[in-house]
Amino acid sequence: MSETEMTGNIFNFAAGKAKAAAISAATQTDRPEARLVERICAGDGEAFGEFYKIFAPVVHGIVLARVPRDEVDDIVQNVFVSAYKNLHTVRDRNRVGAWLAMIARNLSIEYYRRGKPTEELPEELRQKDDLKTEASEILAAIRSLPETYAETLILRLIEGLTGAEIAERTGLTNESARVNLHRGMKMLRQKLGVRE
Amino acid sequence: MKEDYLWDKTGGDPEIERLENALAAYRFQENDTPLIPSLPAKVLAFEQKPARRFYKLAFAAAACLAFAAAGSGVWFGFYNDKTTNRDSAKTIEPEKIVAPRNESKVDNSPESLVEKTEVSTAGKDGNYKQFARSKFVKVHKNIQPVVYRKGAKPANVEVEAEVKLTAEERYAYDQLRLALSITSSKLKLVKNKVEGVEEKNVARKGGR
Repeated sequence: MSETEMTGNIFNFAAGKAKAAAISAATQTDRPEARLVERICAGDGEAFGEFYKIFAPVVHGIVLARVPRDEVDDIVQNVFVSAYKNLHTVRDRNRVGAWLAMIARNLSIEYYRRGKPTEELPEELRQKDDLKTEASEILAAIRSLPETYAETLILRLIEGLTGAEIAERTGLTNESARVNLHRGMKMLRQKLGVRE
Repeated sequence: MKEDYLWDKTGGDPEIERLENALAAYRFQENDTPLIPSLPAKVLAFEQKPARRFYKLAFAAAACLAFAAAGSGVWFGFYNDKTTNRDSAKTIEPEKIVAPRNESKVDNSPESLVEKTEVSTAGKDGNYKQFARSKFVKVHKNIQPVVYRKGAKPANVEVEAEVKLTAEERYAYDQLRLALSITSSKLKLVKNKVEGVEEKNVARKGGR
C-alpha cells in the first residue's frame, strides 16, 4: 500500500467518525425522554421529577426481580441519585431507559456483593413471614425464572406496564419483549402448575 | 385472546388477571416513595460532551496515524534490507548518490568506505566501488542523503562533518522525518474537521 493510500485511508476513517458523531448529535432529541434529559442537564428540577415518574416503576420492577422486597426502595433511590449525577454522560439520549435499566441491574448485583447484614425479625413479624402467602409464592416462582423473563413478567404483572411500554423504557425491541412475556408466562404456568 | 391481553391488556384473561391481583401488593406506589434525597446542585453542562468526543476522536486518529508512520518506517527499513544484492538497483543523478551496479565485482577491501563516484564512471580497474557494506540502496528521487567520505572531499558532494551517520542511517532518519511531517499534517486536518463538526452542532443547538 502506498503512503498516499495509507494516509488517505486513515483520513477517511477520521472523517467517518466525525460524520457519525454529527449524525448522532442531530438525532438525539427525537424522543420525549431525550428532551427530558436535555432539560435535566440544563438544570431543570421539574424535568427530573417527570423523569422519575416515568421510569420509577421500571426501575422498581427491575430491582424487585433481584433483591428482597425490603431493600427495593433503597436501591431504587440509589439508582436515581446515580442517574442524576451521571445523566450528562449518556451517549444516546433516546436510549436513556436502557441506560437506567443497566444501572438498576448493576446496583442490584452490588447489593449482594456488599453482603448486606441481616437482622433477626421480631416474633410477630416472623410469624407473618412463615405464612407463605400466595403473592410471595408467585413472586418467588417468577424470580426463579431466567432473569430476562422474570424482569419482563414483573414489569407486566406487578408494575402494570404493557409490552410496548416495557420495550420502550428498557431498550428492548417489541419482538424481544413479546418473546420474553410469552415464554416467561409459559414457564411460570408450569412452575405454578396451571394449565394453559 | 390471551396473548393480546398479556401484551397490551386488550381482551381478557382470567388467569393473568388473577396473577395481577395477587401481586398488586408489590407494585410501585408513588405515594410511599421516599422523598428524593438532596441531589447534587451542580449538573455538568451538555456542552462539555463535544470536547470529550473531540479528544477521543483526535486521540484515536493520532494513534492510528502514529502507528501507520511507525509501521511505514519499519517497513521501509525492512524493505531496504531485502532489496540488497539486486541487479536492478536504481540510482539517481551522479551528484546526489552513488551505488555500484555490478554486484559481482564487489570490493571488499577495508578501505572501501562510502565514496562519491560518478555513476557512469567505472573504477580504474573496472571495479565499481562498493557502497557501504555491499548494499544496494534504492533511493527516492526527492531525497538527498548525505554521503560520508574518507579522504579527499569531492567538489559536488554535500557533507555534514559534525554528524557522523552512515548513508543508511541518514536515509532512515530522513524517511522518519517525512513520515512524521505527514502525520502531523493529517492530524491537523482531522482536528480542523472535528472542530468544524462541533461548531455546527453548537450552532444548531443555539438556534433552538
